[in-house]
Amino acid sequence: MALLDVSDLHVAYGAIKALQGITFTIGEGEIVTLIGANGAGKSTSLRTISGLLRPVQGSVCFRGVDLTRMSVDKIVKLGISQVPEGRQIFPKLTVRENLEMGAFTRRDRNEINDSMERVFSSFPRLKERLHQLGGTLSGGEQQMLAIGRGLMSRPTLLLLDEPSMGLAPILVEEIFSIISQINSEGVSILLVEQNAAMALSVAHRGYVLETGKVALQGDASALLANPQVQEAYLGEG
Amino acid sequence: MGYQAGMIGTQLSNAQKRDWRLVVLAVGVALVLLGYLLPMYPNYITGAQTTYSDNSTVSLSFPTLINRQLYTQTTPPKDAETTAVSIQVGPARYLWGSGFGWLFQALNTNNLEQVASFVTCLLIPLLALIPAAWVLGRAWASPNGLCARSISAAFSVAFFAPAAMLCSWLHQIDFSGLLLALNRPYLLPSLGFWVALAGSILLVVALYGLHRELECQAFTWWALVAAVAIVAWLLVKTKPQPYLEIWQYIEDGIWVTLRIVVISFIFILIVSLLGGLGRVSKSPVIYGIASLYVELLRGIPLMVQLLFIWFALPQLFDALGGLVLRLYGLVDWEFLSSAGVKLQELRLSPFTAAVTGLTICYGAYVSEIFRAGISSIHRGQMEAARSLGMTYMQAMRYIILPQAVRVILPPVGNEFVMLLKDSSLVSVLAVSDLTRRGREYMARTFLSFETWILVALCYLVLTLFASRVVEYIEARTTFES
Repeated sequence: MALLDVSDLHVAYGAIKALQGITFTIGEGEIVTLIGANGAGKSTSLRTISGLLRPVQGSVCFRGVDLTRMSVDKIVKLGISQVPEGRQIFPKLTVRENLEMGAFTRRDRNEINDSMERVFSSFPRLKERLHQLGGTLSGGEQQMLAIGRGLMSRPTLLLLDEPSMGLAPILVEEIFSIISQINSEGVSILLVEQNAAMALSVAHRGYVLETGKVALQGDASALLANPQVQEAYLGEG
Repeated sequence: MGYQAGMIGTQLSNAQKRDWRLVVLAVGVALVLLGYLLPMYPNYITGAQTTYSDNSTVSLSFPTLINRQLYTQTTPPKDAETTAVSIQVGPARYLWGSGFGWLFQALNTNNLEQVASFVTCLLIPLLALIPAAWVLGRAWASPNGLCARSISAAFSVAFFAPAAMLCSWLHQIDFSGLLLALNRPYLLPSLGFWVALAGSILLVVALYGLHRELECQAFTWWALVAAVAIVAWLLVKTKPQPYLEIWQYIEDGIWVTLRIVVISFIFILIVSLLGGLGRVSKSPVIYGIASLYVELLRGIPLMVQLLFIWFALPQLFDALGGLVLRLYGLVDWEFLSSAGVKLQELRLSPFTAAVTGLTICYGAYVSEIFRAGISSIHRGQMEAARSLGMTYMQAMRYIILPQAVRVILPPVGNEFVMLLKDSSLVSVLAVSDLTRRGREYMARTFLSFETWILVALCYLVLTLFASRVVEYIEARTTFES
């Protein structure tokens, strides 16, 4: 059984149909990426999984538990953590406080400190900035903080919404190598990206969304080699 | 202008020393000094005689008169009617007529406290010269150039110099007889007065220019609060008849006003927190109720709302009580009878009615401020908080509201100042607030001018003080961001 099963998902913003029946799965320990143009429904899928949006039709099952009627905070407690688009760290809290907020659902101090140490081993830069206010960090550091905060709830599935947004290419590479590293420690990842080349290079499998539907799917390497994908999203061919 | 920035902390170049602001400042200082040497008030009221119907007379002379006591009011209370008031005006000898002459005469009288306000008014322009001269001295001679703080201080004091000049004139001709005196050409101030006034205005212009150019600390508005308070205090102290009496009469009104405002404000904050949360709620019912409340209550004038609560609400209670009693006739439950009677007899006290009215009306306005503050926080913050496992209310409490407070605080502070002023409307509800006490006193004595000037000054001190506090809080919160 897959870790996450999304089947025939329909989501609408009022009269606008953002998702028109998409189906995909994420296996245990996988990195799966959703790529596509603006408005294809990538972020919408992600926000529906985390419970911020309610589907009109279809289901989202996490280890066999239906998430579609569950509130956001309950979904987090099941082990799904979202790193929102645009980072959305808490600007008036220090790096340390931001990370502690990530462990909001947990109570055991020792375990929380362990998790924080693990975040620091992935992002040594955060440790240097420990007492700095979140809002004063650079864009790359804020993204690291947002991912670190997402990891603080010890998720089994991490939802990443456009982690490369607004970052310099060198930082994007750094972030993506850390994403691979986090995955190698056993966290499954659903990655939503506009930067298709980068996303497919770290992912195991990928889905290409077009206007609310899955247009293509397959192994990441196969998608990278696919001429259609290359033309539409990789600027090649 | 780039070179101006170098005027603080480093020695000024020759070109900078000839900066127009410094030149104007020097001219201003010279003009004030010159003006005080020239004849300022060439004539003055040498004496006044009040004749009563029993043929007794009371005479007053300088400096009792300079204290602008009404000739009719300074006399000990008499049963007799006033039949005539004659005023003698005489020329002041050249030296005595100058600003320094007047100051010397006033300071030399035996009853100095009676002329304290006049002396203060004459002294302020001279006092303003000291920091102004200090600024000039630093500009021209100091190796360290100008200092921002001294410019701020000089500007704050200079600001009051022209006002003090005008006040000193009003003292001289008697405030209450202003219109009368304007018809007497010989009581108009002469050359020295206008020269000193022009000089003091130049001081303000020059220092304001320096102030703007060098981006000094903001004008110390606390000085204005202090000045207004001092004016009120001087009135009460130097002219106890009638100001002390008015003060004693309206003093408790100040406390009533403050109590109403503070208690209403606490309720307003609670109501508007709920209102603001309602306005951002996704539930259509809660959103609808909150929006209806905000839209309706903002559309009705506060005065009408207060009158409704005071006059119309008892009728509503009466009707409701009647309804409950009729229900009692149908179902015969004992508690309905007592509840119905209680409802029929329910009357809000003036104080409760006032607090209720202000809370309901201002709650609607401040709700909108809360809503705007909450909406100003990026929606992603709520989603980020939710995806960390917080419930909607937890996210509001720990993430959204703490950030929104920084946005909400300044406008809410302004609403507090507005509330302070609008609280004067509750005087129609038989609440003995500051305004009401003023009206009562005026109705008794017909001293409309004196009463309302003191009431206005009291409100001014309160509101200016509150605005300063709001500004201070505002500066603190923006500094942190």
